Amino acid sequence: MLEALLEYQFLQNAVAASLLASIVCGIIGVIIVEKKIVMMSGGIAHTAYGGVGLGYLCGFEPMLGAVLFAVTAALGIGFVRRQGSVHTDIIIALFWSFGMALGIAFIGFMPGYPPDMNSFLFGNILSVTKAELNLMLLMSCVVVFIIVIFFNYWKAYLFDDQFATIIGIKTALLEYLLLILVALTVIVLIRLAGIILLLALLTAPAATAALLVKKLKNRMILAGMLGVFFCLTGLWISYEANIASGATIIILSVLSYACVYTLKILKRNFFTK
Amino acid sequence: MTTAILIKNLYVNYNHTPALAGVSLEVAEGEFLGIIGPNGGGKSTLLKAILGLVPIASGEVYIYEQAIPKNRSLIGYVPQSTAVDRGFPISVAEAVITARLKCGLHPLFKYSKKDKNYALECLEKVGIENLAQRQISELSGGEFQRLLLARALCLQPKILLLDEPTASVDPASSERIYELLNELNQAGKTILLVTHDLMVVASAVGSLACLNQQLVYHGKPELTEPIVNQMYGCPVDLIAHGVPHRVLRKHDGGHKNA
Repeated sequence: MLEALLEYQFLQNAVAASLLASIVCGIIGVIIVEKKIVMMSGGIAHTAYGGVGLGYLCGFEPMLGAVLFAVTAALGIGFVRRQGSVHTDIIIALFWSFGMALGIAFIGFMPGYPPDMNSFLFGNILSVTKAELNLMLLMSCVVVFIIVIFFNYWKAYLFDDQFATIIGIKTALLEYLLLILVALTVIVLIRLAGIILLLALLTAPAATAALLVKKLKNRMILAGMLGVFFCLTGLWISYEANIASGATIIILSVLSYACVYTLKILKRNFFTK
Repeated sequence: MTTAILIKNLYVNYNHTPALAGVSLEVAEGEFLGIIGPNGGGKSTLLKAILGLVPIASGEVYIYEQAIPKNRSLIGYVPQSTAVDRGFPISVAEAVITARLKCGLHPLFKYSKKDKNYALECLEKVGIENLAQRQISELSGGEFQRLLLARALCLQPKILLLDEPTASVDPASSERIYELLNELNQAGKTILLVTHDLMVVASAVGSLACLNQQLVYHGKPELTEPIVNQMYGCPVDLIAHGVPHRVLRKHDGGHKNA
């Protein structure tokens, strides 16, 4: 695969996309796992499908439509959640299905032969274009920048948001900001693993890192490194075995988590006996 | 005498059911007030109302003569330990120092040397400075409670509000926490704590109030049967076994209490 990597632009793009995805996965993945908003992230991701459909229908870049829908879903879910009168999981479910339904409807309205939506649903890293790569780069930079400059605030907010509110930190702003960052992360991951599969890529490295290291920053770094390992190894296996890249990466991530989890349980039982 | 907290005719509703119905309370500076009452009697709600965290239906709350949430920075809040995520990956020192964050949002904010020293001092005050580098997930119930107290002290508050500070704590640690609160009170802090643990609190605090949607008593830490019955809405047997301090006043012909 190494010679092919030097030779083919599409493989270079795939590797670059994997690295970007791993970085944001490491950071945002750890946060959503700790804040227990994994399913909310799932809702945001699936709503993005509506944007892809709208992009195809109106003739603009589908990924831009996905950005629009994901960010709207993030703000909408965040707003309803803050009102506190409806259960969050109801809102998540409605956004989740409504976004998917809109996507299907928009594609249905398109005249002529429908486009291939599978790569958005299940990812196809080998077809990442230069323009998409630039979009991913931009999104990753925004995510990393916002997390890094407010790192101490994020830590206080994630640990105890009520206390943070009392001492005068703008927690409402942080909450919306976090959901928007989740939306941007989802966009970075769509080409890699697809709307349906990306949730495991977002959580598996973070959850594995949580089993291994204790400090928040170290978890983010380790989750990022695990992400790189899962993505590149998955890419290589999928290239050699000629199977779908997204699915390969996800299977590898989840199995790795299962292995580490099992080893940890065995170790604990061994030591307590 | 300065009034630290003044509450006038406070009403708070949750989905149209009243949690607090007409509570008026004055807490003097330097007072150590324990508020007791049944579960669901509005104890935590009262604290949250003082902090401005729940919407007030009617009534007023003042902190040092300023309507909330203006003087909120004078309050150190110690939440119920179950309200805080104890599995979060943060060390004891890191958790305490969050109290030194500048309000608002400041890009690239770094804690100063002074902040770090002060956080350590607060850990010393509660006696867990040796655990500073531990992760909070490795603390016992009593240690975690003291961490929350240290974090509140790190705000340099005039008033401490504590929500069930001994709920998930073993008896020895519980005693240690009340000793600590007494020391802080002696050093000039106004303290208001809520708990459902009648027996212990009555022996530790300077004054007592009973809350069940309304305030049914506020005065010396000595409970009479009528007050307790009114507070719980039905006759309650109080048996103070193994508690060295008298909670209930002896009453004529009675034999079932302490």
